[in-house]
Amino acid sequence: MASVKNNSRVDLKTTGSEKPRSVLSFLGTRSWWTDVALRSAFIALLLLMWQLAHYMLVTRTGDVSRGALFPSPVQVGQWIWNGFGLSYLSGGYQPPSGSEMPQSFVEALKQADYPKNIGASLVRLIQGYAIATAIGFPIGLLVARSALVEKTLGWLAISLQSLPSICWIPLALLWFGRVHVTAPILFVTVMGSLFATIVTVADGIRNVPPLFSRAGRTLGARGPRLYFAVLLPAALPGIVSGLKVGWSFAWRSLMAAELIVNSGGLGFLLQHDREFGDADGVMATIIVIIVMGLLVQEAFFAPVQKRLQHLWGLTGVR
Amino acid sequence: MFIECREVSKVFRGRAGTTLALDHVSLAIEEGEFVCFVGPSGCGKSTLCNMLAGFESPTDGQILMNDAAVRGPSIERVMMFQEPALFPWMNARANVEFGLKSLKMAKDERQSTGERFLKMVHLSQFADAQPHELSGGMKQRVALARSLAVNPKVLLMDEPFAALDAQTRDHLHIEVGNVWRETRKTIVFVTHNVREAVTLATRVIVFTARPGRIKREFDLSDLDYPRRTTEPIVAETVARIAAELRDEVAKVEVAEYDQTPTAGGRA
Repeated sequence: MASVKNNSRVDLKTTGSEKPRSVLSFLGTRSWWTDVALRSAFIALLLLMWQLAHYMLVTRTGDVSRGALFPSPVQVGQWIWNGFGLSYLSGGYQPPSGSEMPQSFVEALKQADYPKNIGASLVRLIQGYAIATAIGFPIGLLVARSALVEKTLGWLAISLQSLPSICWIPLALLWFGRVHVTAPILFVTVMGSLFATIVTVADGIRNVPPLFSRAGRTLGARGPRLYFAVLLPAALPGIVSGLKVGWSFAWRSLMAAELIVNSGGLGFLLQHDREFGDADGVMATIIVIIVMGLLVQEAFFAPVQKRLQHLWGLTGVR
Repeated sequence: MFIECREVSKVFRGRAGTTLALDHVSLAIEEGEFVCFVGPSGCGKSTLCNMLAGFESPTDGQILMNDAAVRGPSIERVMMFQEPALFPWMNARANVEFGLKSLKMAKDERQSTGERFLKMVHLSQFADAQPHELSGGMKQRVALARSLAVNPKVLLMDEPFAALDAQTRDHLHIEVGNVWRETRKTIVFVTHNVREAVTLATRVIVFTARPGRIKREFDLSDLDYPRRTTEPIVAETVARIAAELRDEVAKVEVAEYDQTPTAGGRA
């Protein structure tokens, strides 16, 4: 009897807090700095693999033409650094003198100006997204509420959504090419985002559990009050993800349009660097585009969604 | 007559063909009654409750309240669901006050009414809590307060406690019993649990397996409250109603599970 008691006590202890912790147990914690540390380590690993690949393919073989196509992470990092006008800080910029002059001049021409082009892209993004949301959001609400609108406009939106936004570019150039140099870009951005916004906002409202509507109706809510006090707030998480999808479509369409329409912006830089044969420039710009996307996501949509999830009690599901 | 169902039938048309859920059900409910619908699953008891609430309309027949046909949901006939159906973006207080806004009640009166009903379900301290911060039983109590706050003529309850654990359910039975004795509000309560029905109701109506018809009614208005299932008279009543239900449950087993009925079935 005594030994049984003893055993159970031991069992309790090992299942309690004194259980030996795994090395990776910090993954379960929620603090932001473990996330940052984990991601930094992951990025460092990726860079290391990239550097290793560069060493195997370029440095070891001494193949110069290959080196131009497959730059090392250091080269790409340098490009970004210089592109943000930071070369003065690192002492990388040498004042041109004598015979070096023409070469430096070409280098200066080639080097991207990221702040200016990010600014240009962001202004277009905000304009295009604002227009697409201003049109798409109310239409999405209508599509979710009216069978007639759903079968007509909703169906049209779904059909047009399947058209890759880049397919709008030729028409955009024909129609708006002479209006203003950025007008075609704006048009493509709006078209790329609008239909996704309509479809996802409508889905967000349609996915509201009917139970909420029934609870609202039995408690005397009807008409506009049922819509604005029950359905719309109940659909808010879905609507926000709809707006987020709309934003990412706007961003993609914008990049595609800038790539083709010669008028500045991050997408334009990709094409510009390709023409100069600068793989390091192209890769650097891709990284800048990704980081910009992440920043908007983390700075705007993530906090809003987190707030909603907290209010709805949806956190804690992992 | 307060509430009257005249020859009410309901047919559902789905992919599996048409289903006769209710077959010419006639029923009268007096003001102040606590009526329980008991029946095997799929017998149409919830459907009838939905029709009383106005969420669905009869395929045939009529439902009248105070001699006027029931058309659509109304705040006079508030329904409570198996899920609490609280609005997750509102705290408990705002949930309880939701229906009062429909009644266009002035703000201070609305607040005092909301507080009164939260107090009635012993949740005054949780007025500012979001629904997800409450336990299942607490949520259902907020839902009860929300339904009663608007002072409906009828409270319709569609298996409201089916998803709760036994202890919480017992507590809520006591609370609902108290509410009914204090307010003498007409309550229609749908359940498949015979003990629950006998504990609460003044009248138990047993439905047949699909197509749902009224099989038998039991008048329990003579039984004193509180009713404990340990009391012989209550236990005996439970046994009688359960026996009535057993054949119907067995029919459902044959129909839905392609099985021969197990001995006795389940009550």
